[in-house]
Amino acid sequence: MSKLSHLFVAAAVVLMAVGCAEKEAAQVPIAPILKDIVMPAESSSIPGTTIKIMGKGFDVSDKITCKSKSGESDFTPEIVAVDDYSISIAVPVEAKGYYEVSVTRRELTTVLSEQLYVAYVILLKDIVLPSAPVAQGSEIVIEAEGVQDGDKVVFESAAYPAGTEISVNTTYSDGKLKLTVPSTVYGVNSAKVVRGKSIGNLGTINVAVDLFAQTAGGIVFYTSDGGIHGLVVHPAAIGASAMNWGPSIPSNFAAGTSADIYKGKKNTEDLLTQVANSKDNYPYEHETPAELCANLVSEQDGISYNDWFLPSQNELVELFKVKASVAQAGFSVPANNYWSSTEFDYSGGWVWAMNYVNFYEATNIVTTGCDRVNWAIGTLAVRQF
Amino acid sequence: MKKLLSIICFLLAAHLGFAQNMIKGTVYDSQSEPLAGVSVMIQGTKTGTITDADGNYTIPASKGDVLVYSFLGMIDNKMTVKDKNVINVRLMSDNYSLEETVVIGYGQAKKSDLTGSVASIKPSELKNSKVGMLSSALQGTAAGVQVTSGNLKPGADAGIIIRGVGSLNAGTAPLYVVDGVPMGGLQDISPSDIASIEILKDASSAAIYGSRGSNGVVLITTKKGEGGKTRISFNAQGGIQTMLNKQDMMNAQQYYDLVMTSGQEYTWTSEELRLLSAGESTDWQDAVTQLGTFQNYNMSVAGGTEKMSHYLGIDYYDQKGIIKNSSFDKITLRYNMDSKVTDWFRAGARFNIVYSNLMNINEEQDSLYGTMFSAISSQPTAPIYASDGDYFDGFLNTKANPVAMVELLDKGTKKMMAVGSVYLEIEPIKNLIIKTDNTLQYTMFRTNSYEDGRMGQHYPVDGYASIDSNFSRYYQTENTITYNMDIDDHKLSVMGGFSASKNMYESSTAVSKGLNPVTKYNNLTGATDHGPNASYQSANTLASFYARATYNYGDRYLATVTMRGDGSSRFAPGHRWGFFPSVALAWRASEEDFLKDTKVNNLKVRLSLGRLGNQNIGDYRYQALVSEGGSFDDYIFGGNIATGAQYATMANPYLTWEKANQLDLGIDFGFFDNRLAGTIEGYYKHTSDLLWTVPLPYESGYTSSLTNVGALENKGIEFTVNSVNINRSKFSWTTSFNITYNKNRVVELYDGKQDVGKWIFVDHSLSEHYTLKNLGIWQLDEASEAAKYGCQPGDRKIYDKDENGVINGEDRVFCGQSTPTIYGGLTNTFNIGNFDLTIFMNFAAGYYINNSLLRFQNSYNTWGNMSVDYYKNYWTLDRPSNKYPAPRIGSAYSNGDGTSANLQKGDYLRLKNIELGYTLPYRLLAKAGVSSLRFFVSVQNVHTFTEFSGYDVEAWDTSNTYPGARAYIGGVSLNF
Repeated sequence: MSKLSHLFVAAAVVLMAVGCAEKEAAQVPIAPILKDIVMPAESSSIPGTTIKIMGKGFDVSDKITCKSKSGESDFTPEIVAVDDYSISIAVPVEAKGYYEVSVTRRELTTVLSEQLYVAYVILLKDIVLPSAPVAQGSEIVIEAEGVQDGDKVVFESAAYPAGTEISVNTTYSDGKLKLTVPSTVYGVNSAKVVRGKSIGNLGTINVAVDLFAQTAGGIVFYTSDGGIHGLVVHPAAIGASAMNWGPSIPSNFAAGTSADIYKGKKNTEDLLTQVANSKDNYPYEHETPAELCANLVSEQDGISYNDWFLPSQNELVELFKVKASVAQAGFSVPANNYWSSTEFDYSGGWVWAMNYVNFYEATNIVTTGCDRVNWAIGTLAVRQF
Repeated sequence: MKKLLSIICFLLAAHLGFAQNMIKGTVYDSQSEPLAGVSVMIQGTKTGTITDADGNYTIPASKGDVLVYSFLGMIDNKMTVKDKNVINVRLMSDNYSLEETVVIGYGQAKKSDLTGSVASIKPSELKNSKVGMLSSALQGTAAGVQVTSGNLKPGADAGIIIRGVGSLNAGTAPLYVVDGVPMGGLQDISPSDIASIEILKDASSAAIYGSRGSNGVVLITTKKGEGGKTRISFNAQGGIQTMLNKQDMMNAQQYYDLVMTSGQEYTWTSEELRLLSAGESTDWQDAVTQLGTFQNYNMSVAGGTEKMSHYLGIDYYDQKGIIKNSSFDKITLRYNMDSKVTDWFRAGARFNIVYSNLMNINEEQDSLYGTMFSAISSQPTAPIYASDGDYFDGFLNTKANPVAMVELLDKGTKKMMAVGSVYLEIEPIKNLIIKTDNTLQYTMFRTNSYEDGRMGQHYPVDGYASIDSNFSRYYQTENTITYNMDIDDHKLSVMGGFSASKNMYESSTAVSKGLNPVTKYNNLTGATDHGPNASYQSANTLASFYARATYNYGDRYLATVTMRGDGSSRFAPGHRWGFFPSVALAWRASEEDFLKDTKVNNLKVRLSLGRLGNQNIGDYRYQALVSEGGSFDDYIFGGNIATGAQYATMANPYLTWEKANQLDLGIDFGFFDNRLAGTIEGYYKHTSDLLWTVPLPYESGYTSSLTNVGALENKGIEFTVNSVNINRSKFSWTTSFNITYNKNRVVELYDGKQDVGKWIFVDHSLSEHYTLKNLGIWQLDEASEAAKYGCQPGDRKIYDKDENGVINGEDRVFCGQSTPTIYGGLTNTFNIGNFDLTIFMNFAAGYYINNSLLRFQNSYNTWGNMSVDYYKNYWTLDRPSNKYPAPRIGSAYSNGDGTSANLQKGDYLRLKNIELGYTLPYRLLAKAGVSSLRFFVSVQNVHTFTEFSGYDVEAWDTSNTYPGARAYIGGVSLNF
């Protein structure tokens, strides 16, 4: 009987254990899942700085590996910060170009679908540039942490024809670059250090020019701000020496031109717009003086100049005043009346005239309006810096 | 043959007369407790003795004598004297003992005299459900009694349906009466205080409760002391609970895979992606659940003198639920006193004080925000905590973080109930008893709730607090006069009575938002936003006259006539009184000569007929009610909000009781010394004047009116059998089994309608599933056929009943009923030496459950997680399953709504309790003054065999239910 009791106890214990077993699912890590990845723009992707890759799913334990797709060396950046929407990594100074980015967590790696582009930038610090305007042909010293032997300095300026860069070789010593300012460099320049594809911005270097110097595409006949701004005349009259402007047009087609210095460029642009607008109703038989200037392409010291314009009334007057010195510098302005880009201010309602300057005179300044249709006079092209 | 045996026995006895020995032994009951006062007789002689206080006896007997052991309420046992001089005997309790008295309404009767259908449940039968409330412990214990649970949270009271659903709107719960006092449920009763439970099922037995009896009556009688020895009893039990049927939901990796496959535009968060990469997954079900614990202690002192007896019971119940932060604890104090002041004057009192404290889970009206549903549907890729340490709050649909919900939701209900009744009883002449029993009952409960904004977007950011405070008072007087007459073969008992009761209820609700999260609901003044606040009170009264006459001729022919008249304030003047008569007849064939001295110990045929009522319609429903104030009634006047008022309901002065006419035919039987005893019973219950919210044309100004229309019927068969299969002194085996078949049918609706809203149909069971029939999944070779229905392979295929090429409401078919047609229970009890083993099973069959969880689990669900089964079995080109549709957003009927796809067979067989007990031998305890000491271990909800895949087949809330649990319990019971 006691055996029977034992059997019952045993059976009960077994029954009580029914259902006690529980499944335990093994946790198998998988490669990181990363969504909504957006790489930083080039402007925010500077070597030697912390950059932020936007995306979801990054973790503080992640290891990032950047494998160069541009033949540069790979790097493994330090993780600076991680939040729910991004990861920030420290990009080394040497980094540049395209990188394939992979994220490793628990020894499992995911390669991001987008590549990281690190801008070709030379990181320069403690830059010291000439504080005063320098002269063409002078030797200047640029001091900056980060410059190297073989670096070139490139000058760019809003005053140069579009796309014009002037590259200058330098000599390096002790953290400094020495160079001679070439004659093709003038005005307000933004200078940068170039090393291969990489660029480091230096800042502004002002180059002052002398009056009547042959530079900036022609002969300097007017300067301001100590020579860093000025006007240059093309050393030849252009177009026919006796050429009318074109059809007379109603006053509501006035371009709103000015007689002031440094306004010729703007005047020319406005006139070109108006010429284009009125061409259907007021047929032009030839290029207007404004178009002649705009279309002019000349070359000096191997640089092509295509940003000529028709001078304003006062710019043309300035040229008239120094025409003797300009002649000495190599361009004797032929005696003629010349179109300016300043419309004749006539309140009668019709813009039938432009101002002109009389270059027949020796010293007497004669300038007033003349009939666009019936007057046939010459054209001079200038540019400014 | 019998005579021959007697002669042989006699001869043997004479022959062995010289060898007469003193036979000794002890008589125990089934719990191995010694039984005092057991009669021990030598069969066929007048020689006999009775056992002493320790159950011991000594009797001179000879080899071959047959000793007969008998005791009231126990089945006789017979032992033949052989070589041993020590014979220990166990007597099994007789569940069909005809001498036993059972409680009936306003009195008691011998079981043999009953004419109606009364099921008696003994306290020992309640042990099959130790965790939970008394109501759930009744599951499977009696035929015709079905226990339904909304959910299984700690402290939840289960519902009881007796003999089928008999009402639509007036409640289906029986009347609960504890020591003569009606109660709202069984939550407040401590099982250890219970002496007996009687369930009155038919019209004859329940008619004495008239207008409240149509759903049956559950009578509970608490223990009282007996004169003589003071008995002290101490029980302690405790255990753990583990969640059952954890839903097999996808893990994070499967979920990710499925979402990526489906092409759903899913906004992954970094937290989710990190969790995925780590190979981790959040198991929300685990995150909100825990190992539940439970402990229950009770102590009672019962005793007294001949003149006065008393019973004092203290019970403490404490349960920490399997969902975190859900709990229920309750302390019950009961004092019952009965005194016999003089021979003709008796008085007594019953006092019961109950305090309980329930910590609830989130059970919002929209269950989809509830705790468990959130845990199921929250995506497994979501972490519990966000990277900033706060609760993660990026859920798709549920909007609440399940863990935040269980940790932050503070929703507790405190309840205090005090009931006291005093009775006076005089017997001015013999057999005439005049009794008055008067009761006061006070119940207070208060629910404090605080929803923290951190629970999720769904909740007010700065917190939301509410306080619901309720108070009810109940007064009752019951006055009866009883006369018993016993002349020769004629026994007549007449009882008449008058009763009056009043129930008053007050309720108030205060709501505030923008609170200090520390003081929560304890300082509503500190809130930034208040209201809407609300309050109301209501009252109802009931006055009744009742009478019962029982007649017994020669213990063979029995008749009972019962009548109750109830006047209820719930009905309009002029329509307040209802009368509920019943009559019952019984014939005890076993008392007829031709059955005497046969193996048939009991055979009784019963027939009863009567009418019962249901007045559970709520207060003031016959009147036109005006609602005043609130967002639906207020209006803007002069730029300010003015309080508005409007008629809310239409008056119906003809509103009356639901009436249930019942017929019951039963046969009670007992064979072989009652070792095989039981009842088979058939019933027919026809409920008419059903309370119905009948829609009205809108031009009436109302949407509906409460009206008495329609009829419903329930018919069924109940079968109960108890058997003592083996009864040896060291091994016994008893079985009790009950099974009920119930058929429910709507007989008529209103205005000749054959259905209401395609929801209830004439000639069908209530809430029968009427829906589109799911035929599986359209396959590749059916592409052209599918295209006719605007479907493509992988979509759900629906049965086109009218074959018109369009799937619509006309294609719906009946898909089985939603309530069981068959249910019952089976208990097997074994005694082996001092061990006892009980195995209890219950079952139900013949119905389908609409498992609303499946609509989320088994189709592509853009709102949350899905089941692993779906992940492994959805349709793809390479895996053309016929089980689940392809994960295609916009696929028609994919989630199975409105179709039979989510119906599951509700049939189940549950191994509900295995209990192993050991009672220390009495000889070891006697010296310590201990009368018994029993240890037990029990496993409850051991296993359920069912196709249903939800949390618990017995819980009807399938989407946000409280999961079922398996309990491992140990305990000790000590009696002095």
